Amino acid sequence: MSALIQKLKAVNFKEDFINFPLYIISRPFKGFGDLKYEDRGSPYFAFAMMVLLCLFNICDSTYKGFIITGYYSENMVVNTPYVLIMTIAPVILFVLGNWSVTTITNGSGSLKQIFMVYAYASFPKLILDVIGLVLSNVVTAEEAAFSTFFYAFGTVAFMLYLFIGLVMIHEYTFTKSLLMVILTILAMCIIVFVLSLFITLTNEVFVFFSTVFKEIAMRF
Amino acid sequence: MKKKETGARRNLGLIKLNRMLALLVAIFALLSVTFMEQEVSASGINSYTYYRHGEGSKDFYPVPAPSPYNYVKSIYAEDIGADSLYKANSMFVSEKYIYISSGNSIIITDHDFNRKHVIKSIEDGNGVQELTDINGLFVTKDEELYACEPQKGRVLHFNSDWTLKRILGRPEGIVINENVAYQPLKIVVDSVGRMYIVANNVYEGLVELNVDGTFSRYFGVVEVNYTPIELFWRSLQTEAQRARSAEWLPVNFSNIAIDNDDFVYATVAASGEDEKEPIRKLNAKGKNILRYPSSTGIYPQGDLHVNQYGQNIPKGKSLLTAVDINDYGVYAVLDSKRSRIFAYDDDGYMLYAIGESGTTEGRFKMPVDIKFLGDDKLLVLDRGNMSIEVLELNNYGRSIHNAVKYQAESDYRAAAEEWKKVIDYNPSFQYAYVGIGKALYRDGDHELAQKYFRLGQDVDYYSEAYKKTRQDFISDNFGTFVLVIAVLAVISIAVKMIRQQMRANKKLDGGING
Repeated sequence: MSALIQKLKAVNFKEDFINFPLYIISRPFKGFGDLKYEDRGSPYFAFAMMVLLCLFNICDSTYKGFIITGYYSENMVVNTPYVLIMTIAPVILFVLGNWSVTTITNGSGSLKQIFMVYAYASFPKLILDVIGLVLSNVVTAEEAAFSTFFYAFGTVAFMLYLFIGLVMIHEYTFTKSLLMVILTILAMCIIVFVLSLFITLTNEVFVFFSTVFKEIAMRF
Repeated sequence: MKKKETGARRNLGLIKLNRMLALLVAIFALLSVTFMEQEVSASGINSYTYYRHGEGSKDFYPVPAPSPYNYVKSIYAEDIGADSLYKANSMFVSEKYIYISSGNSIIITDHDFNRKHVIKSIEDGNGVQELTDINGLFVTKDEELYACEPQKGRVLHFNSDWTLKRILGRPEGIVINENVAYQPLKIVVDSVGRMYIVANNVYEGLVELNVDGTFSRYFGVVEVNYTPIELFWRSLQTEAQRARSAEWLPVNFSNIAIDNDDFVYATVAASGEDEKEPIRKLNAKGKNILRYPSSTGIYPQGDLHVNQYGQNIPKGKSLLTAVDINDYGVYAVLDSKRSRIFAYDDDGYMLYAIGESGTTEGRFKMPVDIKFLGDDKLLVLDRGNMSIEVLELNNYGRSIHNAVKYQAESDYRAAAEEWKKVIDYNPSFQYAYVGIGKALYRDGDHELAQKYFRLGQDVDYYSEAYKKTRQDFISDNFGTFVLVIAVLAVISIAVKMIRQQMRANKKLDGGING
């Protein structure tokens, strides 16, 4: 515990949490290069980013303006575990998928670096989405495009930064990077498929044993 | 000892009396409650409204609602002096009379169902002819009756004393295939005397006839909808396959009605399940101008939630086969598939859905036509029950209709009072909140209006009200905004200057020390 506190104290908050993310926004190629070669950036920021993303998604489903959602409920219920899983699961899936593809194709990025790239790439998206969320509460129906624009722009920016980051840390050419993105999506699909298969089969086994147990219990 | 016992017994007796009293009071209370409730909900007519619960356009759920109509009575064939009603096809309510087409006769009664006249045969130049199966009826403002006789391919036009005026056969110049029989099924006549006819096997639209009975044009053409997938498969088919596969025909109109402003309301017999506009309001150009709420984009179409699968139960979208409009723009459509009636207001918001399949009171076995009677009655011609079901608006339904009427007259304040009554009966009726919101908006209480529009899930009106509150907020606080910005600017300049001063001092100090 004390070791963790010591480590946390060693984190340069201003550099890792403010300066470097903003630096990446303005100079993505140089920034992600620094992340790999100069060892800039911090995994703590990445974890903090995940927490922030979760928080934002909960706020998004709670406080989004009536004009954008088009639906209002007096006692709104937000399924928090669902929102959390839907935020974290894609991250894990992408990082694992990308890592498993790039390790067998001589990508030089490590798991930690992929995760950090994902986190730093979603930083601009978070800022834009927050702006969109705030705007969604003060726009009229004709101005709704302003709010949705920030959401859409955030998504596009995220994809762009993520791609640049992956190009930098894996040291791929452009075409190979594109191929890797497609393969990554494929890998993600395979992971989901295997996972669902696993769950179904586990269920089968469980049902089998419970049936056997029931049979025995009936007999005695 | 004995005394005590009697005392106890007396106490017991007292308690019994008290209990009896309490029971009596309870019974009275219960009775009064049930009698009070009878006003609205004891009619036994199944009713519901759609409730928006979710962000998607599909998140509309049927919630039970009090029935807007009470069952009054069933009129059977013997009550109106007819042989039977098992071949009843349609009816029409005019200013004075009710016309019912039943097999080979047209029965005319007054509004209390006392028989006035029966038309069984016509007499023209060739002698007396028995009528064959009569279908659609229409009566003009001067009580001139038009009746469709599909088997003979003609429309009969009667004078106001129910003698034959003229026979409109296959219209001259109509462009349909020679071997296709011209079978008029339904007819409406506009205020000028032009006729709009739904004809069997005519897929070009409604047949519009001039006042003199000559063919004018096809009206309100229903276009064929192809999906890209259908087109793709069709492009792969060989010529022989194409010839054998089902023809792609435009959907047919099933029934028509006309309102006071000569707009023709038509229901489309949805042969294709993906029919987007099953109810149409056609203007003089034949274009569909039916309004529907743009905030939700839900087009009036009967049921929004339907089962797609099922055996021995109706499946798929509503099949609309009859439509009627009242004076202030409320139109009702009949879903003959599930024996339900849906009513919408002029803006396309659903007001209520009533009815279900069955033979008991307030249910319909095989409804073929619906008509508003007077201000507060709805007639349902039920061929399955061989009867005309008479339904009457109760307080709840009355309030809905009044509210819509006042809205049509732009008397939003009176409408809001009626909507409040509606909400008392049925708090889950979302459109009522929009109605109240409109009145508040007009009265200038934008913030409260916003709340009501939000309860009614109406984004467009909410946005309008919000625009006003935002405007008010900014104009009220403009001075404060300017002040805050000015103060912030002054502070930031001051801070900058102080910093510069300090830096200069430091340099100076450094210079001295160095």
